[in-house]
Amino acid sequence: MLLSYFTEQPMSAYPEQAAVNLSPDDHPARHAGDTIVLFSNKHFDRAEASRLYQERMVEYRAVEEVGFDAIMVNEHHGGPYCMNARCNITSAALVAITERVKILQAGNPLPLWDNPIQLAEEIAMLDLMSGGRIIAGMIRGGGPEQIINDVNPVYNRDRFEEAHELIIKAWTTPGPFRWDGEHYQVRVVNPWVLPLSEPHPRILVPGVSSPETIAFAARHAYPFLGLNTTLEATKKMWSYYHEVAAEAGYESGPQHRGYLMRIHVAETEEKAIRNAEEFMWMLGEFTGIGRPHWVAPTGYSGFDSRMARLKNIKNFSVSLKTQLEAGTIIAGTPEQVIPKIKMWLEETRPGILVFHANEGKVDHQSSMSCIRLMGEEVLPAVREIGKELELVGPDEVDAPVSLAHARSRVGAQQV
Amino acid sequence: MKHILELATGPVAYSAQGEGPAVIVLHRDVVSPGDSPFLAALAQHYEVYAIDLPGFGASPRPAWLRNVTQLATLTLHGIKALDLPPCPLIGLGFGGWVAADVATQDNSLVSELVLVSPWGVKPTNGEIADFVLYSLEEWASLGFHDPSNYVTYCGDGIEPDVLRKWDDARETVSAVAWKPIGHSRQLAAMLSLISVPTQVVWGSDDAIVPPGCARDWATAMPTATTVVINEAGHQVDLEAPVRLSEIVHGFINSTQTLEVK
Repeated sequence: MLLSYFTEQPMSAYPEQAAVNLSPDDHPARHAGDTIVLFSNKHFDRAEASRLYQERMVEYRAVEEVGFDAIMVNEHHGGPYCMNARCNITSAALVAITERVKILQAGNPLPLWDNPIQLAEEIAMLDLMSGGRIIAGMIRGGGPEQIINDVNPVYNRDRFEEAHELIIKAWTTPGPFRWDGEHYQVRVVNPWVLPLSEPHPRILVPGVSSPETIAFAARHAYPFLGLNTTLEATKKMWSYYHEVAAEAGYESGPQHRGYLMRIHVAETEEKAIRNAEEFMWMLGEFTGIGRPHWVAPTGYSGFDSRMARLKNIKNFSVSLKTQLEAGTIIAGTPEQVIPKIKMWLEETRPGILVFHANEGKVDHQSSMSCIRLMGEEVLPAVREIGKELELVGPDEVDAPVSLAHARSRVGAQQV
Repeated sequence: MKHILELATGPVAYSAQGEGPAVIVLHRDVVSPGDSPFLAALAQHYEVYAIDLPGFGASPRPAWLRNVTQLATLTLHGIKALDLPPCPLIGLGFGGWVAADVATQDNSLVSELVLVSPWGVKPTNGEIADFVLYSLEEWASLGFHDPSNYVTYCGDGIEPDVLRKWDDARETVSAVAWKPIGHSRQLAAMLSLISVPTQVVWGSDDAIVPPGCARDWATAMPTATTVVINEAGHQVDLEAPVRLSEIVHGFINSTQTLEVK
């Protein structure tokens, strides 16, 4: 298994009461309680933010030391729920402060880039500098990302697919060549940095429930990372992935399945539950609280699909107690959480498991303690369970990085 | 009842009502769920052709459509296909932007231009509100001077099929007018190409395009006349339909009387 650590790197020092209230100078479209898009950054505390960034770096070092295989980093914009405004910047910091772990990007929002070649170059630099440790997650980005970065949601999916195609070609086809696409036109494609990994870094596609995105990942044989989906939704996701993979001509396995699990571990159950409450900050909406038309703006996907997506987001608003019972949040001592993780592994069979461990206002000391307990007690047990269940990560079976790569391998049998 | 004009690029729908000389009306970005009182008032004097702009109502949006000028070109070809003598062109809100762009491309089919709270020109003071930040219902409500008029025209709860139509319309507006928000950096310069008599009308309490923007249009089109209707928001055609119809009728009469003299 590939076992990864993750935190949203929340800006937990913002004044919550300011978000709860409406201020006379608020934008007229803001509602009381909104914490994204129109929640004024006058509430951003620069000194506290600097402290939080530095604490995260200490924690990331510890994550490597205790034995995780990877550190996952993501990117969001326009709200205190995530201080990673650029996935590649945090990745670069991780390249510098770690030596072994994979850097799992989850990921770069492709449509936000007006020149995808610049992104191809940045990822290539990271892969070269890290000695090939980059997993290049690619995403469409959420609604707030489109609004804050002024990217038209109507063309989001088209831009995602075209940018992906262009980046892969830039990494795999010798330049110079010209790209005359629908959304991107590049006069000379000839980047003089190419990734160390050949033909290119492993790609991963994170997502929630969009069938189009699952199908995209499956068509390319890229691992899909389910983001905190319910047990039932996760099973449906894998069933659909398997179906599309079969149509594409291969059999999907654990190496194609990833899962982001909200889990907190502490010395006592009481402390773990108290810290797990922080998964419910912002009413449990881990991408912050905002208007539905920001989260899923018109054109981002079809009308029905957006309505379904909003329904799924609302599911996060259920109480901590309900989520603990459903297993969508796991909290406790190492002994308590291991059987619950085992249940998820047995039921959904992922080869990539990401522990979304420290959220909201969980302090540095508790985060460090959680990381240490995970490393000392949880990871070894999970690895054993993974072996028993034959849950292999992509590298363990030397899986090709894509279906195209599989087809180019002479005598390749396994995708 | 909708009629269809078959253009080489796809169908364009329109409806017609009333009797008399023809006028053409281009709608706002949000269409009222019910019948338009403005079109009904206008139909007392004219045969009113209301075109569904490509991407709105019964006119599909061509996948390649990227900006308002292309939308105006399709509209112009729709107007040609109606095969009418030159007639007044009235544009409401977003449709005002399209109407102005049509007239910059070809004056020959337009006898008079009436622009009601038009989008399209960057206001010197204030800014055009950003539809993306508001829900469909909030946006429709924002267009009224008197919030109670929202309930009058849209009802207590928006039916899902109406919401879907509003969403479809917003998708087209996003597709062609995402950036810059609701205007073109070039339109003001192009307006000098319009040679037909032009009337600009604005609601005094327009929360979507600031009423002061009327001055920007007047600067770009020195021969245009401007009228402000008090106690009306962006959706002048809903809040002051009879007054607006009278202004349009009076303007057309005045220019055509001048032509006879």
